[in-house]
Order: sequence, then C-alpha cells, then structure tokens
Amino acid sequence: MVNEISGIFDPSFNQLEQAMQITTMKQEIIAHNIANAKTPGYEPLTFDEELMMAVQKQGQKEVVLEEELADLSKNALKYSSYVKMLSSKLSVLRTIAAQGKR
Amino acid sequence: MGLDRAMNISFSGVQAERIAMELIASNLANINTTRSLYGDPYRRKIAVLGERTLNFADELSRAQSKLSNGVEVIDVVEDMSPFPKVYNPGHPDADSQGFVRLPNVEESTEMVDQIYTSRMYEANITVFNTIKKMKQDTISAF
Repeated sequence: MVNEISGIFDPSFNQLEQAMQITTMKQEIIAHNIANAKTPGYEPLTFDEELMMAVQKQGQKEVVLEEELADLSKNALKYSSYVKMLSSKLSVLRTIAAQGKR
Repeated sequence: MGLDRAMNISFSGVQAERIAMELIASNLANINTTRSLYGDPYRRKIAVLGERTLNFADELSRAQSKLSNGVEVIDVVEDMSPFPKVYNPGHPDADSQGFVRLPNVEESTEMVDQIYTSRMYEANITVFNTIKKMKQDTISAF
C-alpha cells in the first residue's frame, strides 16, 4: 500500500513499519517467557536477531525474570520511539498537504 | 494483532498464577485437616504449569511463527510424601497406638511458594501493563 505512492512516502516508512512489527513480536516472546517462568522444563525463547546473545545464553535452561523484564522495558521504549518517528513523519506530510491547499 | 496476542499471553500467566495461589490457600487452610473426603488426612496439592495449547487455528499460527500461546495449569497433583505422625491418643482420628496422621503440608514451604507465586503474578501484570501502554501510545500518536 505504502509502496504504491512511493513518491511521497520514502522507504523509512516501510522500515519503521517493520521495526514496529519486530518489537511487537519480541514483546510476545517476552510475555510468553515470563508466563512460562514456572513451567517445568521450559527453555526460554530468544529472538533470531539476538543470536549472539542466544549463543551466550546457551545452556541456560530457565527464565531469568529480571532479564526478561528489562528486555520488556527496552522493547517498549523502542516501540514508542518508532511510533514517535512515524507520527512526526506524518505530521511533516500533513504540513505539506495543508500548505499545498492554499 | 501482535500486541493483542502478547496481552493474552501475559493474561494466561496471571490466570495460572491465580490458580496456583488458590491451591496454596487451600493447603494452608487444611494444614490441620486430619480427615479429608476419602478418610486420609489432607494431601498437599500442587499446580503443574505447562505451555498452553489452544484451538487449531492458533496451533497453526504457532507452528508457523514458532511461538506459543502462554501458559496454563495442565494438572493439579497431590504431594505423595508420607504423612507426619504425632502422638495424640485422645484425638478421634488416632490409630490403635495413639498416633494421629497429619497433612503433609509444611507451613514454611507454602509461605515461600506463596511469595514466589505472587511475584510471578506481578511480573505478568507488569508485562500486561507495558503492552497496554504501547497500545495507548500508538493510539494517541496519530
């Protein structure tokens, strides 16, 4: 949808959209890890992007609550910064549209 | 939407921890129950948590995204450890030697479990609130 009018919307719109989707997915994973913190034998899921961290975490067979909660806040902040960026981009477009009307 | 699913997942955690807390309450309430429904003393009950599985559509998307759907209480099991015995010949449930079998509930274990469960409950609510705030941010940004 955004691609069709790429004259107005630069690629960063798509990038922001993807970034928001990724942070949402990460939040889902964290929510799942915390929900299953007491599940016997449960191995916490890690996101592909954090492969390096996953390698370090290998052999860790239980959910570390503090780590998950810290990741949760980090992700939420990332998400709201993406939303902010998107909204300021849109407000630029809105200004342009309003000026063109005159 | 992804955020909705994340909210459902953390809500499933809240529910599971609440059930675990109910069992702890039941264990503590029955700490002196020498005669349960089947005649034996009360046996300590434990909630066994497991990854939640939902309906077919959820299972399909789970398989595709390698994600799961939260947590649930898959079973409530009884602690099969032996009942402690105390000498109390006047008790109506005493055996021929005067020993009374008491429930296998340890007060200290239950208290520790209670704190742990309540912390887990809080953690799930924290996740829920964080995701709620993300949603509110998205709504108010545009």
